[in-house]
Amino acid sequence: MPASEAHDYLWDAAGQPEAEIVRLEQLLAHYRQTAPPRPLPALERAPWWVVLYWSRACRVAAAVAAAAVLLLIAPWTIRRVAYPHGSCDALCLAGMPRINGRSISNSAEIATGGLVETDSSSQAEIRIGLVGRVTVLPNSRMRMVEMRPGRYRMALERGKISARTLAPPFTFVVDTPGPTAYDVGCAFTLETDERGSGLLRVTSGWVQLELDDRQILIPAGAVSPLRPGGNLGTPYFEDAPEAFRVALASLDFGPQDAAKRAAALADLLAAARSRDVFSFQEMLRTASGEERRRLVDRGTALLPPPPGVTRAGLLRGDEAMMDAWRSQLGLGEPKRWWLDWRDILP
Amino acid sequence: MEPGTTRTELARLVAAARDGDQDAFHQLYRCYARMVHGILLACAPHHAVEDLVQEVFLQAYRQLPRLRDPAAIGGWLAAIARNLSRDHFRRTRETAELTDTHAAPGNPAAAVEAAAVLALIRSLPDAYRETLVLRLVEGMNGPEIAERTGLSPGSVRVNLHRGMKLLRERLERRDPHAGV
Repeated sequence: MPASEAHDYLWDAAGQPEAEIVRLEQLLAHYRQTAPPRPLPALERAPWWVVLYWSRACRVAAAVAAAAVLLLIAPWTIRRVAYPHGSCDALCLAGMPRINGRSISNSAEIATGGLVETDSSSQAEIRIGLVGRVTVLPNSRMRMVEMRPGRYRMALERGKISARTLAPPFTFVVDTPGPTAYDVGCAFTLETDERGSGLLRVTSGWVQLELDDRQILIPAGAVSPLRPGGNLGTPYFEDAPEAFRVALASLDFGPQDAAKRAAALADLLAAARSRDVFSFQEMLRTASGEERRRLVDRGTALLPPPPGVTRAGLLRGDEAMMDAWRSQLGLGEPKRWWLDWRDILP
Repeated sequence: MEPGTTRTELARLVAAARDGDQDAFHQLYRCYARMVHGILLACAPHHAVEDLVQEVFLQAYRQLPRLRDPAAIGGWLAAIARNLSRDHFRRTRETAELTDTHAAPGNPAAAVEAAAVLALIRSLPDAYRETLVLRLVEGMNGPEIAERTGLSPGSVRVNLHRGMKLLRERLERRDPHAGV
């Protein structure tokens, strides 16, 4: 390539000069800056606060200060938003639910002591900050008993609720005419009538039912029947065989005649799967004598306990051995409730 | 930037000037005065440009703590120069360059012609006039303009060629027979 073509004179001022551009350069040259440029007068530095303001150290310090303020404020703000105190929101989901006797069509605030009532065509939702949501289903009556960070207590007088919560265990409590349900980070439905007859169904996490000195921890997938007069049924997995469920109901609530109980127990043991040993373990809390021996023998055959757990230990109710045997069910840990956060999503 | 002034050296000069080293700042002044002069001349009257160049650097010295990236000093100085020339224009409302002809030594006819050409360059869009002044008046080549103003070489090249084309058209429109 010839040198003149390799260069673009306007661009790099090299190679064959273009007459027109050279003429312009010569013509305009007297406007060019004199070299060397005129000396600068005395230089005046920026005031110290300007230097400080624009310095990296100052910006870093400002960022750190802002982060510190955020860190101080955030827990307070989160607590305030997540854990309401004294009142929360009630929303109408269908029909015209009543809050403290007044029908609502949109939303209302409900305070401690407030009453939510639904008829056959209405539903309401109670939003308790970020702790949880309770849907009050038709034909229900529920009172807000306590609302403060760390404890949200409701009393379901009758009807059915569906609750989804994400809170440390025992933050969320529902009283019924029978037992009290303590949330252990989960989703569940609870229904009861005025006499205390109903059902608890756990769909995620765990719920603890308490009545007097009896406590039952119910995992996801299991249900626990409630009967009038504070009669708690043995919890069982909903997918248990029909024969198992019938036999269990007979043992829990049927005639206490020895021959009939023995027959029901035989049916129960015959129909049980390894997963149903969960119900056996609950029954072993109260069973004694021959029933206890049969439950242990069939249970250990269906779900062998880990080494170190002995038949004698299970028969005498050794708590450590019972716990080790329960762990064989692989139902997870109630303590890890916060891993169930997906279950509370709408 | 003077030939051979590397980015590292430039960063060192800017950092030193920011810390109050006046020698370092004077070195930056010598490096960038021509570029600043060209940018000012693209807007401001010639007789005011020398003073404005000094004002640009005095202001830059005071504002130097705000400059975060030393490599951006060219573009930063150019921005200060543009702001100052706009302020000057607002203050004086001068549009004519007649006084510049008196300052030109030698041939008065050439001085009148130079003022007219400069006025035509100043009538071009912003992007073209600065680049053309730096090239035709200050005698900087394309790569030098790109390096000092912080523009990309591609942009400078495009601005030079499009600006030159527009300038030719306006020169011909002014006097179709005279050429430059």
